[in-house]
Amino acid sequence: MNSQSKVALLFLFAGASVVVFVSLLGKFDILGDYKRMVVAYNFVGGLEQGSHVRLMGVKVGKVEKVEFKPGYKTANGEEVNLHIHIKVLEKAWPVIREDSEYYINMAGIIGEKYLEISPGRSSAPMLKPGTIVRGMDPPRVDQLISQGYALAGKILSVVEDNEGSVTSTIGSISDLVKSLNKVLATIDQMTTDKQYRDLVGKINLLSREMTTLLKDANKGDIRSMLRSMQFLLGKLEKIDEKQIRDFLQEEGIKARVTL
Amino acid sequence: MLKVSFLQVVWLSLSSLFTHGLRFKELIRQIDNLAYRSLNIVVVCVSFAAAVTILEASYHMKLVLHNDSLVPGFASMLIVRELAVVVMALLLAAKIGAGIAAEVGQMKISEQVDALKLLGINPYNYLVLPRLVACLFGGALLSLISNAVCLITAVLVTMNSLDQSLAFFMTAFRRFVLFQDLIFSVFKGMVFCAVIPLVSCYYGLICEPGANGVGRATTKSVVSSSIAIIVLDFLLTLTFSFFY
Repeated sequence: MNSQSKVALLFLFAGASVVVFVSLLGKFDILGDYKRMVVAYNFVGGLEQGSHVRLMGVKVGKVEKVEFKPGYKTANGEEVNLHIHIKVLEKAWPVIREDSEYYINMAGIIGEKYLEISPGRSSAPMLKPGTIVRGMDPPRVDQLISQGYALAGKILSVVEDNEGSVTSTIGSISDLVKSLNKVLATIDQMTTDKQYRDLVGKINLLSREMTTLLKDANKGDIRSMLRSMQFLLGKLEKIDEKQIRDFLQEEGIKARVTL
Repeated sequence: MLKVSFLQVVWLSLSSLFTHGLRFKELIRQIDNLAYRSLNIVVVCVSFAAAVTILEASYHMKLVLHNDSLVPGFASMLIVRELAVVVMALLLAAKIGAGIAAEVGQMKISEQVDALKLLGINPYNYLVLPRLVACLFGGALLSLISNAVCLITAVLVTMNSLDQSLAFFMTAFRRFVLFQDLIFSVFKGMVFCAVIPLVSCYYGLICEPGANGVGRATTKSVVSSSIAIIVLDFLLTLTFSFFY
């Protein structure tokens, strides 16, 4: 093999290595078409250029740029200072709707941050490329810790300032718990004592009989009788004292009528 | 010629590219001689270096974290950013640096360099420039090959010794290694390999007469090239850190 062939072979090996690297790293987007959009945040929690974009958990794109936009306001007047420029595979784009939501999540063993898009309803209109949407700011752990620390300090100062009343309250709670324990013990005893069990049994029996009685009262003839009585009382209301006396005299009954 | 300095060698060699052009046949011959013939030694050595890196990283991570799942990611980053290219350059410094210094030194003490001058041939253009350009090309090519070989070895060792899958390695590789890491690695390889012929030719051109002189020139050439590579590695790494 002459020198030229050997050098050509060397170039070939190196070229093959480049191809392998490029395909492994997937850094060139020559194989996929993308559409672009902007997600606005006030806090991104470490999301950076090159972070993945996932749709329903599937990698569909990347963060292209993180841009500061001081003073930018959304349509509803909210001030949002960060613009995350992302690209999403064209084939995944139809799933993103105007009501889609944009979260920043963490994955992997090193806590890699990525942007997760939840698909919107199919009835909602499709998102236009280049649209600026508002993302859901991730929770700020540092802020939570700091607020928790402040809260703990306040609780401590309240306890210190009201040490007497706190002690008395704790004493009352202790008494309450003791009383509650007694009540529970009594109930427990009731469930085991024969007399109480008999009593409960009788109450059960009475309840069953009452139920039967009420069922009978709902039967047709009793209902009809009640209706007749109601009718009669209605009629009696309309007649006065004189009419009743006349009626009774006609029937040969002497009575003192008082209404 | 005896009082030539290193910077003069660099300047005269580079300027001869514009005044005398590049000897293409000599360039091809030098690429064959310096890069192709070093391929086997580079492949063997970087493979073992990668294997040792994986095993050591696994041992240390298990010792500290009781878990070696981060080894593929860290090891591939270390391989692409440092190991493959630095090991390759140090090997070339030892192999071709010594060869160039001995060859040029022998030419110097046997007055062949003066003969070239008498024949109207620029010795820097004839001796230094083809080796420099060949090392630049060779450095880039060998860096790529060295990285690829290192990673293949790392994958094999990870799969066999760490019992982790290829897919796991690839996921970690993609997460940790950036394409610019590879670009910087190739650039480093070119810079390191450019230093070797310049230093070696310099020591060859100032070689003292006799076998001792050639021996000393060869030793100095290898030592100086190796130190230059390590110092340049630090400087380039520091410079590249501003790009991340």
